[in-house]
Amino acid sequence: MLANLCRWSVLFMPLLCQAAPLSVRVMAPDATGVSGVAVYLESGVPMPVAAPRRTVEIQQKDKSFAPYLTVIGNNDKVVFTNRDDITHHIYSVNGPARFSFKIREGEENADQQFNQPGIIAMGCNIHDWMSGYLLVADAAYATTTDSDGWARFDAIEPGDYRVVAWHPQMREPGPLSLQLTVQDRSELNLQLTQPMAEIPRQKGIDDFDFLDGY
Amino acid sequence: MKAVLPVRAVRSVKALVPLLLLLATATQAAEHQVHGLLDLRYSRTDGIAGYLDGDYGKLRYDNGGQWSQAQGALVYSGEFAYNLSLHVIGNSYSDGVRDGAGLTEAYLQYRGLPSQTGLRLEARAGLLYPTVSMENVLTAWASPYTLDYATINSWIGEEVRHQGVEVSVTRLGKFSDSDHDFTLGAALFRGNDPTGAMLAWHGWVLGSRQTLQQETLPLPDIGEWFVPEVSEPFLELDERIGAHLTLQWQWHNRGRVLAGHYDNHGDPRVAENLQWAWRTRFSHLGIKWQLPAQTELIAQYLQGDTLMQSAYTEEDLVKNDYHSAYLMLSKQFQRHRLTARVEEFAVVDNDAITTDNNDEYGKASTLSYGYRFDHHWFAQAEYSWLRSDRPSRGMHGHRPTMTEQQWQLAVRCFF
Repeated sequence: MLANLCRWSVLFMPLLCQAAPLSVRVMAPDATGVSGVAVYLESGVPMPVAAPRRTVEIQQKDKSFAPYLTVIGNNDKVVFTNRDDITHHIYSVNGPARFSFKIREGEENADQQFNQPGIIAMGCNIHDWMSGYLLVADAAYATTTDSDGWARFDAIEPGDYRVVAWHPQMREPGPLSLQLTVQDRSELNLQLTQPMAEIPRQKGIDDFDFLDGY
Repeated sequence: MKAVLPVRAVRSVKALVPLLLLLATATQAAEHQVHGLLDLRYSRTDGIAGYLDGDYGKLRYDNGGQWSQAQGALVYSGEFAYNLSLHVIGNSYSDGVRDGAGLTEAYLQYRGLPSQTGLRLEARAGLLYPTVSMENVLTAWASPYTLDYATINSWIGEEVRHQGVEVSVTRLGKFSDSDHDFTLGAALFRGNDPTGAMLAWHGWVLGSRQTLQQETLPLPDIGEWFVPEVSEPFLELDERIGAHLTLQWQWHNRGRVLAGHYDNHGDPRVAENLQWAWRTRFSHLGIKWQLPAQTELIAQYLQGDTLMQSAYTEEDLVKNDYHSAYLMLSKQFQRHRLTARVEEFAVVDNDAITTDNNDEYGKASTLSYGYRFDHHWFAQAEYSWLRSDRPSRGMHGHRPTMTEQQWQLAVRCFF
């Protein structure tokens, strides 16, 4: 089944027992890299050494969520940063974390705790077109793919992992994942079987500053 | 007139009570914000004395050249909780025709969070515009497209405002993977019984002036006993509640369509000091659609009727049908915005009083160019052409059919 969903290739895997870099490339069916996809590594056993805590920034910029999709792992935290010169009212009313807070021009908010794994769909109650996702993964390692489709992890503790890729616009019939034993530097590919759906454009119909709610 | 003043004074005090309550509420607000707008303008008009002066001109400024502070607005917003806020909008005008400063809107707003299924409840209560305009979307009801509003919205700004409660429910499509949002709105209101008088007695106009809450509007000297010198558009005379229903469909990244029906439920036989309650009803349809090449199409249609009767004989003193429609294209490229608008308007007089003939038919075109210097500063140049046929003008020293033109140059600062 999994073999049908994705092709993977481990290119280089010498036997050395220390933290090793891992690169995962998420590819579209036409083999081009797909950017902005969440990639995380689930481990069947508790990690002997916690991965370093990341603070992941979710910006409100140009009246949109940037990035559109953010992923955090077990030890990561999130800070919301409003780069616009207007107030946003960020909310999530479904899923594992339900919250709402206003964030004013230039403010940061690091108060939100995300302990329950799951998908958090976020919106702004002032700008309805704003749409963003936070994936809270029960994973030791998590990141998103770069503009060439690569998710790069600097140092993975050796062990057995399930590598999972996810994006709200994926149209795969099941999870895009594979099992991997990390021993040394590894590179692998995950290929979509279906092209992703179009990401909703985060832009209002009235694209003006000084809109006043009329 | 002397007998009128105390009544008006009492009304003014009564009208101030809700405002004072709102302002008292503002002291409880957790956070205060003030922003606004300044519009400095030079206008050159080729026409006759304008409607603001109580004459038959269809444009805001009188014949000739005029420097003006076309709009100076201050908007106060106070937030209490995440969902509750107070908004007070004041406008001032120094245009050499009718200078003044005062309130145009003041309301409490509730905007709930969407439910788990994407339903959101919103409410506004206070001094409000009905949700009709598709172009007046900026601070203090300014338009990003043109300096002068279309005739429909010039009328809304002049005499269609009320004290009321507006409740709406929106179904946000993104909660169910849909690109479509629907909003159903209902408003109940009072304090706008004379609405319809200006449309009857000076007809459709092309302007950018919002009537201040305390203002009285001079009317042409028609010479009929039932026509007052001025209209006070925001009076409550018959103690009847009006209603406005709206439905909006929004297709993400495509456009939105707004339809509604408005009925002030006025009792047309009620009058005090020649201020009549008019039974004014209209339906409206508006569309804003995004076309290729950063071009927007905006159009509105409004059609309705109004009735005012003698209290004693129940004779129809004024019974009019009216409609207006415009089509506007606006294209933005970098710092530039070019907008063109064409419109048509009419009033059809259906009563038997021929000496007060409200018949009117006209067309107007507006071409506007805006340049954005930075986040706050804009320059705008605009040309308007309006041709109208109004037989009653012929009885008051003007030509029944005339063409008026206006060139305007404005600097606008939003802050």
